[in-house]
Amino acid sequence: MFKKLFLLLFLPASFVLASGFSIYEQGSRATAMGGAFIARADDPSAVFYNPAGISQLSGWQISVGTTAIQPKFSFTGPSTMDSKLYTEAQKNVFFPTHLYLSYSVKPWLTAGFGFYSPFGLATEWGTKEHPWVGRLLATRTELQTFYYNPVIAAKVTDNLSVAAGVSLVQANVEMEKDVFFTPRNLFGHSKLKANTTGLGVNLGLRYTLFKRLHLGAVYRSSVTLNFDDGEARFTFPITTDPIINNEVSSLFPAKTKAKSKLVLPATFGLGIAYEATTNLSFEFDYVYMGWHTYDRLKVTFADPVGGEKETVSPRNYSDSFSLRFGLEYRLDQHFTLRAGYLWDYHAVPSAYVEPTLPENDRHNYTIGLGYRLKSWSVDVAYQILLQDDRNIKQSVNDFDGKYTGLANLYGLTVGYAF
Amino acid sequence: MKKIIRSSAFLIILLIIATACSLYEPKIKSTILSPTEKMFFSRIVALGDNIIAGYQSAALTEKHQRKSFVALLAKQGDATDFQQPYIAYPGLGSESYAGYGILKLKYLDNPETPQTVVPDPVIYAVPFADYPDFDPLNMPFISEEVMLWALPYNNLAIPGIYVDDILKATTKLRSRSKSGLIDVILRNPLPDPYGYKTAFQQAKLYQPSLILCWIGMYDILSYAQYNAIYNVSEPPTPKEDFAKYYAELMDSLKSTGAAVVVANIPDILDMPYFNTVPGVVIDTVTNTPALDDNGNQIPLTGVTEGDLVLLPAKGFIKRGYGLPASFPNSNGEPLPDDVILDKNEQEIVSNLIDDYNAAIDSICLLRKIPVVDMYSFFKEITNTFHTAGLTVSANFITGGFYSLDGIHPTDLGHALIANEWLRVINSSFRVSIPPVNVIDAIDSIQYSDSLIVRK
Repeated sequence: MFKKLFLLLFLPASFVLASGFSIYEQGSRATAMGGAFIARADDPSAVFYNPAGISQLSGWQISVGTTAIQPKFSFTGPSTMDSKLYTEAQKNVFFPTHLYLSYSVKPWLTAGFGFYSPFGLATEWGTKEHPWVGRLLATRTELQTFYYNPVIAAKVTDNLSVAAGVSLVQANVEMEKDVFFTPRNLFGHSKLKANTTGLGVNLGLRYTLFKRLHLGAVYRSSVTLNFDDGEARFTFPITTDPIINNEVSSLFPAKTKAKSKLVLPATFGLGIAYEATTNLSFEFDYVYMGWHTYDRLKVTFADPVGGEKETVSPRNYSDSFSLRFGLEYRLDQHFTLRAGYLWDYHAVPSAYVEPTLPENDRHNYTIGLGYRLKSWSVDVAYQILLQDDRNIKQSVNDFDGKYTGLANLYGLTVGYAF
Repeated sequence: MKKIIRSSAFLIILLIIATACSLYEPKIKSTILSPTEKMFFSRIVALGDNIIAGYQSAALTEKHQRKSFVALLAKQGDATDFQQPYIAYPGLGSESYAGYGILKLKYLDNPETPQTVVPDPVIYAVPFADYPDFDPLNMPFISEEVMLWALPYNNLAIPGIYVDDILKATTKLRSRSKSGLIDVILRNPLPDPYGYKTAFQQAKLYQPSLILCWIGMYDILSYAQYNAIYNVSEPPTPKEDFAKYYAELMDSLKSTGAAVVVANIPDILDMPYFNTVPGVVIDTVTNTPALDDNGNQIPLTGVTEGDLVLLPAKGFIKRGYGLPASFPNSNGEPLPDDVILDKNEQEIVSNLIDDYNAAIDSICLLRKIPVVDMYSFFKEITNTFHTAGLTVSANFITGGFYSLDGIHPTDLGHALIANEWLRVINSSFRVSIPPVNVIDAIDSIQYSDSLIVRK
């Protein structure tokens, strides 16, 4: 009986948020069109959406911007305690930023560079003063990724261009939750912190038919992030009994090394765009994400924590996809109106939904405006993300209830052509 | 120019949409009781034996009585004037004959044996001598207010009683079980004109709206457990007698007009009391099984394969019982029979639990009395139970469910048990009392238990 000693109390929770936790909003013009931009790809944000697209750009071009993401999530439950207990996640705003450069080296050769954050976000539930009912699952989780992505695009023929690039990926992760030391009835807090770098590649292809119909394809490889040099900290309240304090400090190291691995999923996208008139154009995209790479979260500690050297929690994400539709209408030489819709299919199977990623199918409506004056361009976008309510029954954590969520996203990108 | 105006208008609309999108917040953010539901719980009474009384770690004490599942249910149902026979620290229980109260965990791993591979916990009983104000014979209660409470207690469950004692026992001497706590909890004789009243009669005097009754476990436990005072194991209540007594009891409870909820009997053989001490010699240095020259484990003398060694055997083994003569600290005696449950006895226990539970089911079905399936719930604990990131198992000390006596649930266990009862109460009587928030409940336990001084 004592062999299993010291409890299975430490099962870490996962990373973050969004069809899985991807952020596809990496340029305000594309965002305003539901992210349907693979076939069009005719501004510097093409480095992200489809690098082959930069071969359309002349001279030097630069664009920089950000998307303010304001998610709102709530959980009602757990049904085993109070099926009406309502907890709203802490409100935070995130600003994943993007920066793109392109330079036409030769008429057939264009070089580009992108800096963007295609995976990330954060969730936070409860506070230290008012811990929430899911405190043993997750209290705060944050993941940031930064891609540094040089690309080269070449025009093979007048109609066909191809591109390739590499990405240096930098990632930071922080996971916090409470732990319960059963024999002494004590709640402690655990904090895992790690950062690392990884490498990925991206490929793009763009083909134009009859001058009005554009086809695009893009591939972004998976990126393996080995968090080999992470740090885990455990803090417990001090009690009046020095024996208990000693037990706690010998079982839960105040600080120890922690290791984990995360594979960011590969992405594959196809797009078709059509210029109906000189002022009106449409695009339809299909984007597939290989979320199956996130099958489990394993953390290995240098010193045993609660008697355990590693913890494994199953994640079992499945591949997901989104359907994106966007249109653009040019009002005059300065103003352009844009709108779009996208549907995001969930990556987390029902039994594995937990508070770090309260995810489900999402309907997104986008709208935006572009303004152009001489060499300058300013694009704004607004996106409302409406997530279907998700009623979880028989979750692996026995934490059943209803997750609801929405997010407001505001994009602003400024561009300049030399 | 027109177009610019149009665009600006567009932008304004856009901003309106942006600010308007917010999450729909429900008006009701946690379950609220209706007046009928409060009425239903207003006169709650509990009858039965050990667990329902709030007995844990070998004693009945206020600290844990206040966290018992009956107390939790009363709180969830907003019962006012809820009173229990709160016993002052260190409480009354199975060690009281020798002058001790509740069990405490001193060390999770004994510091005097630093080489142990498997932790070696140290448990001790709190002596009455440490609490000179505690008067176990005349005034064991926390206050005169509790002792002189003018109404019957809402919790009239008495640790260590048998099924028929609820209807028949008025004092320890006039009971079959001879439980010492009968006199404490029933306070007989009551002031005139009441005189001697049984637990049931006191419950009836209270005109209860809801009766919770959990009885029968001790009828079997008294047979299976080691008894320090009476060396002869009393034969357990025969199944025919149990069924007869139980049916009488249910008829009586029904006759009060109150809503009645009962529970069946858990499989006591799953409890750590019967599963913690191995039947083999343990190396005192590593606290793992000692091996002979051929690498085999060495059985304790007096123990045959398939026997369950009871928790109190630990003390005997320390004194040299059960160790083969080749061990230097052996006293040459086999492990006493009283701390061993052989296969035959285990079968008697298992069969009785099945028989009692079959009787409870059929008696209650006939009388339309809902039964909380504690047998199955305790089995779930044995197979490891998860809720909201919390893991609870039947492991001794570390499992979180069983207290230090290896039989009775902890405060955490009571919170989980409360929710099982509430589920049955809610579905049987068409009320919706919110279940206990187990996470908040254990958060409050940590303050009562470990005296946190700094967060």
